[in-house]
Amino acid sequence: MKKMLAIFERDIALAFRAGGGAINSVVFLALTVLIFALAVGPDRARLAASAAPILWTAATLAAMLSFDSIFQADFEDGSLDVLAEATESLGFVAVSKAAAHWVSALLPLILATPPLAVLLGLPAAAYFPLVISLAVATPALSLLGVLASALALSLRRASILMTILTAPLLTPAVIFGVAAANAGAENSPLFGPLLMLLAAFTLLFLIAMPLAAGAALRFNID
Amino acid sequence: MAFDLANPQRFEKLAARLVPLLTIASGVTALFGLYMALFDSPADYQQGDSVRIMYVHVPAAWMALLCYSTMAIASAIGFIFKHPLADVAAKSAAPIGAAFTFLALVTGSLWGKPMWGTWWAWDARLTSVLILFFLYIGYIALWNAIDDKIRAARLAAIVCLVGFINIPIIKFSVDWWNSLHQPASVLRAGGPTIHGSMLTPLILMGAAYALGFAALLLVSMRGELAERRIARLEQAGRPPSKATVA
Amino acid sequence: MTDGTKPSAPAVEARDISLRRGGRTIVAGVTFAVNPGDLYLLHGPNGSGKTTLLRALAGFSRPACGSLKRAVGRTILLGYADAVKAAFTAKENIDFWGALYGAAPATVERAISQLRIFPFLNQRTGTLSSGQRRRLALCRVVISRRPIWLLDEPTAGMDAASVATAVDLIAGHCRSGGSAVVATHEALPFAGARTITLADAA
Repeated sequence: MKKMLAIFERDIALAFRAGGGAINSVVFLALTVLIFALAVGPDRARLAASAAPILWTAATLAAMLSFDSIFQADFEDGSLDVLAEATESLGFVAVSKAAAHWVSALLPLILATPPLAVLLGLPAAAYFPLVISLAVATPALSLLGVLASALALSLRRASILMTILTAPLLTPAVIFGVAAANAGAENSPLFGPLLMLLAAFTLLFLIAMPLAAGAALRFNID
Repeated sequence: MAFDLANPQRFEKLAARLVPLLTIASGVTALFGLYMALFDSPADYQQGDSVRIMYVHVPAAWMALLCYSTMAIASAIGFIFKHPLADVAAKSAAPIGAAFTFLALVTGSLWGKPMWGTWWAWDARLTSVLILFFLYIGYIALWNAIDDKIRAARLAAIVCLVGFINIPIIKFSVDWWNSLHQPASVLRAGGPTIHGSMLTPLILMGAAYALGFAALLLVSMRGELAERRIARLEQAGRPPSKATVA
Repeated sequence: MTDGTKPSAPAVEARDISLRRGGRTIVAGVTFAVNPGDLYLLHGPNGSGKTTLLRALAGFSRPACGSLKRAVGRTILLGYADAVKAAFTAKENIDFWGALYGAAPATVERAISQLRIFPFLNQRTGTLSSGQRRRLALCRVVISRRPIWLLDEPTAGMDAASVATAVDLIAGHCRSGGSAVVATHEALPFAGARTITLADAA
């Protein structure tokens, strides 16, 4: 547990030291929103109706772009060997790395969502459900990202392949995430159950992905 | 090493005998199935003759799942017991499964045109099959992106199994998403309530597809095994170093 | 250093092991035991499998055949990569290792002084020379407090003074009951070291 915390803290420190990563993701998110708005046209009603879906789409894409950095540096500079040897369990390393990825890469995206939603004219009642749906579902993205990044270490043309591998597995999160955001905005009784479903999905990934990522890492450093 | 070579040799012999048998069985079953499907079964009272697309479409969709299940089982065996034949089976099943999945998508789309008046509808089943198709693509691409065969087998097995446990969740979410957005579709009219005169050719076609899959799988596995033997011969050039302790 | 090891049982014992990589057998027929106090120098040309052997001893890969017994959590590998974060200062790297291995502050202090890290303790490691970085990497091995050191070219990029420091450190570790397997191309002045030479069978 102490070791997991040490890895988590180191990753957060490294993310903020290196800088740029999270800012780039947020800029990517903003640019996607801009391009979408330009493509749809300045019709307020149409933009507002698709605000939650487009923000969810953009956040998912931005998250997927951030996956390849999770293990790459540790793999190249030999730190991954050190983590594997010191903890004797790459599954726990994967959990620490996922947590650090969420805080350093995805939390900034979630925080950037409300201001971007203003640009799209999202109704006031929809802000809280949108942010909450992202907050509950995005840890699953980080957990999947850890697996993708672990696999990517021995791949040629890793980044495009990672998108192909992860996108199908993310469909449930996107479906229920956007549905929860919409249900919350409409004050529908489905909001609570949908959030529970998202949480269940995240929990399933919390169990499955570190196991899978740990196995993938072991094969990649052998 | 002995394990690695001896078993594939026995497999070679068995496969060489099975492939012609399976091919003939598949062809004969398909002939019967097609005859019944095209001439000996009724047209649907709503869909007319276009219902006959079902006999190529539905078994293809079954095969899409069957192939993936085969891959998942082979992956699990390869992952746990490190058996190279299981790795080869999983790898060889993937392109065949992808082809069946693609066939299911195309025939679904062809069926959709007369039924929905459009080539594509975001029907729950078609959407699930489309996502399954991407799972296949990812799996195949992963194999192709790793040079070391053993590492590729282990990593691909992880991807296959993670995909496999996710398929029910994806199916559930897509069904739910579809029911939220549109009413039940025409394709769902099939299912267990189907009439016997339609069910028999459907099952025959399913059997023909499955036998064909088995034949193709064996052929493709033999090809892969031959390729690996060549690779091993090419690599055998350099002997291992010996250690002297002093 | 030898906490808990029974002096009689070797902590790492290889019997006729063969190692494969990428479908090819790289090393075959390696037999030796690492007992407390042992110091092995591992020699051999490039590609003869020194790194592969060290990684197997460290538990990263299993031998294709033969038996390899190793006590879990007692080996520490220094790879050819330094495992040093360039964005961190030397101190930040060291603090992370201290937390990772649960080392006491006294252990960390001693490691810093043994490897003469003080002069660049607060410098970002991205700006260090390769010899300085290598010393910092060795610092991690000390901080881990694990008895069996598996060192892959520990003196790569070091000047004469640094090499002497590293040699003293490794020899001292083995004198006090630890052990080490050192893969190296250099003729390091170790007294009483045994050697493992990997060479083409032909």
